[in-house]
Amino acid sequence: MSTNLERRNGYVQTLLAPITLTAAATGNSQTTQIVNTVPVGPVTIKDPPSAVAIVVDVSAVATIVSDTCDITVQTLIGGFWVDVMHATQILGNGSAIRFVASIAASAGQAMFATSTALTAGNVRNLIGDSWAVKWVLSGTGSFTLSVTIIPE
Amino acid sequence: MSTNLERRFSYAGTILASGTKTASGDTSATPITIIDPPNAVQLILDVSAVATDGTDTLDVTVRTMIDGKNWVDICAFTEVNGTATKRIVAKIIPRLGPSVITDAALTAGSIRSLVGDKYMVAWTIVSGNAASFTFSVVCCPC
Repeated sequence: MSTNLERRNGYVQTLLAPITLTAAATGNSQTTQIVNTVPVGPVTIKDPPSAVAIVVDVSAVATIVSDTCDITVQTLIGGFWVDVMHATQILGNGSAIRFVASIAASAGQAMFATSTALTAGNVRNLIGDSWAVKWVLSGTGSFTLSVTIIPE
Repeated sequence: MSTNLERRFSYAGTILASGTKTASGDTSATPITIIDPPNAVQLILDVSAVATDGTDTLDVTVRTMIDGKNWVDICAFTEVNGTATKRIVAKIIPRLGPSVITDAALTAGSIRSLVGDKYMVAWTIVSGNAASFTFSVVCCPC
């Protein structure tokens, strides 16, 4: 019989494999596409989790403070992509950093209009069937990062 | 025996398919059934087209049936007017149940933590100037 850890590891999903996003890139993985030769696409989590942990692992940044990178994770609910995690904004003059966030199915979530942006450093406690990442860079620098989602 | 994935997908549903409405109405004759959501019910109102101005308003309420015969308001989405499309997300968690309530209508922008077996949508359109709203409501347990 498998342990919880073994089961959980089997469910760990890579939302975004290590990738270098370059100057002023904007995109998402709602549909499969090639970004800097790396295929990215949405991930479906079978077996509804009671929570998900999300890890944004930034391994390299460049070069100045005005270079910024915003990473947002989205989930698909009833055919609509909804922003549920917006990592703290990454600056080009910082160092490697890792962000961890948790989203719980049993936690409350106030009503909101999707026209209201999810600001950096916040989550919404919503869990859909598929998951995607979107990124917005400004400035001229590049950022190397990966995003992983772990059902719990 | 069905898997969680099969169960969940079979439960996610459209309470109201997208369509253009110019008058008030409801889906009491065609409710959907959602049995045993694991933790909560997530609701999305998607208003994809509106007309014509701020005097036209749309209020959408989701109701559930918890006793097999009576409908109770559980989500009154924020009011939408005729000037801009809108997508509104709400979440209902049964274990956060309300204190004693009457069956009075909910005010816009509020919820009640009740989860029943059946779900319907009611909408009220006030037309100041040829109101028309195209919208849908979907439900996804989580």
